[in-house]
Amino acid sequence: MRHTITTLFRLMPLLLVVLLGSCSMDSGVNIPGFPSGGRLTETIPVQPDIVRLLDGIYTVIEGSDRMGKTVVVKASGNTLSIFTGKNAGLFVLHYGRIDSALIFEGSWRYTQGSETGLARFSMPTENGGISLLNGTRSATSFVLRGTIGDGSSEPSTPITVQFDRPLKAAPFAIIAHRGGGRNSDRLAESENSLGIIQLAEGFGANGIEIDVRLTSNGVPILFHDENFSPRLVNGEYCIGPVANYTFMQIRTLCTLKNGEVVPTLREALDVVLNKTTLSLVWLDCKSPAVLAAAGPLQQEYKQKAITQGRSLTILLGLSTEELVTEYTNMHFGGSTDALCELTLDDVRNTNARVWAPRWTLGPLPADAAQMRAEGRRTFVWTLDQREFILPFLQDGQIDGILTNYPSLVAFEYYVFQ
Amino acid sequence: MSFNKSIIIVLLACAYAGRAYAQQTQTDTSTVSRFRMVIEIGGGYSYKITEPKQTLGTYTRDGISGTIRLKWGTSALLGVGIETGWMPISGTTNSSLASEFGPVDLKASLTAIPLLALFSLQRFGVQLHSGIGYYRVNSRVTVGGSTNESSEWDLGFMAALGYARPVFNEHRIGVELKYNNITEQQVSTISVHVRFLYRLF
Repeated sequence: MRHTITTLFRLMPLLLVVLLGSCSMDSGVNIPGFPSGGRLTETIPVQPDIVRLLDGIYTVIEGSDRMGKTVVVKASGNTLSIFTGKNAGLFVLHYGRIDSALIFEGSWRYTQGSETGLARFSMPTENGGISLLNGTRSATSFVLRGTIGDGSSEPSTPITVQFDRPLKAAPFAIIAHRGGGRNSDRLAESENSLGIIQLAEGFGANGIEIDVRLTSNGVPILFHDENFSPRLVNGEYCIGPVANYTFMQIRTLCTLKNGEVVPTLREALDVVLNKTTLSLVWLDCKSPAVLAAAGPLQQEYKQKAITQGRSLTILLGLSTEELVTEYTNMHFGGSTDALCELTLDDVRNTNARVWAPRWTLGPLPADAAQMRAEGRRTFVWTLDQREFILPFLQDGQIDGILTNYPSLVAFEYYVFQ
Repeated sequence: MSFNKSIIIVLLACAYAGRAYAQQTQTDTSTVSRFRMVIEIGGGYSYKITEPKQTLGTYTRDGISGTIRLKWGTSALLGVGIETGWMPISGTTNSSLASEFGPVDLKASLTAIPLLALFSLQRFGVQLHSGIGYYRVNSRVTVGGSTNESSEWDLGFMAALGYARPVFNEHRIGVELKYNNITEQQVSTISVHVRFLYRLF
């Protein structure tokens, strides 16, 4: 017995060392910015429609050691993004023009790492600048020249990319998990925040998945976990089940990890509709009671999108049998847009527009083809690694991928022939 | 984390002492007389040393805390047991907090009840305690007249250095300096307690 006590005692410090070592603080990656706003302060605005002409697959002429041989260039909102296959790199650049040259400045980071730095590109007159500013696409001459740097140092490593071919026009949903990404990836905005939703397109997504819960007084909010925790919120009094707290208590006492308010579903849909060009929202309903609150909002924002001439699909996510039962019992069951994660029979019984199987089930081409034949789509969740993404793209039967790394999926999807 | 590192060093020293003692007992069992069970009750002042990320009004981070321990071990050096008690962590009051809902009354408090596995080392009246386990963390908030109480279990640990001296055969009194860490909540407190120890057998 004495030996046992001694052994326990000797192990205790080791346990505490492990405990302390596991106490990691998620601190955001410090994305650098150009001092005093960089050269963009000298530019005049350029219409996003013009910059969208740059969308395409580009060959890396110079800098392939950093960028790989091929990159994807895609404009969205007021930014131009570059996705690299090598290291899953992501560039988000703002733009303007000086005379007939376009200037692009921003930052890059490896989406699955903490490396980051500044980037500056330009498209001179002779490399397509004039035709671009005239709103025409003389594709063969598009060349982006620039430099990238590490950290906040002035960019000095030369990069040159040349247009190779346009992006595929086929519709494919690249859906950003938790509104754009997870806190664990140390993004500039918190997961399920209004800010991350506005970043999602720059990351390469054309749709988002957001998590919906109810407060104790029935307000649908965006929050992933069942319980508050320092992983997701600041506010030392915010502990225990989210469903215990009223909306006023949450908004008064708790903020998301990067200081944002916990948004309501209405605020999130407002942002999607008015501040993005996203075409799809997947509402991951965390309890059957969410459906009664989210359903009317889904209908309201569907109508608002139609009024604005926007193509916007809002899907009620049905991930459990309880949700399926509740959905089929509700008066709007079968008449709204739903996404079902369960069996094909459940998809048909709920008349869901989308079937969303877990990726670990494999590509399931016959089932996905059957869904397509019935006029439904198939989205797979949650794919974050190239070696797992490619088999689904090669299969050719799926219509979308939910991912924590939209830039990685965007690169693989657009480059895949 | 420097404070935590200090604790690790103390605990490693503690482990080394335990090892040395184990070696000693293999060769000289006469130094251990017998096992005994001790109950210990302490109380005193606690202070939360973790800075709040935001304050929403008048913020208090101290209060009266208490500890109850049940220890079993040798009379000479080593002991194991369990610890529980009461820990105030923080409180906030504001009778007119500016918010998106207009001015609201706010009253909030955070407390914890530890439930820790206890390891102790004692020599010449000096005791070094360390514990690992869970804290039942309780939050009580009243915002705009609506009150909510929530609780959860969070992983954490404790380390304490104390001194006790006999007053009767089976009674001792003493003082203790204690550090509690609720790791998952990223909360640390430091306490000074007066202790009463009673030997059950």
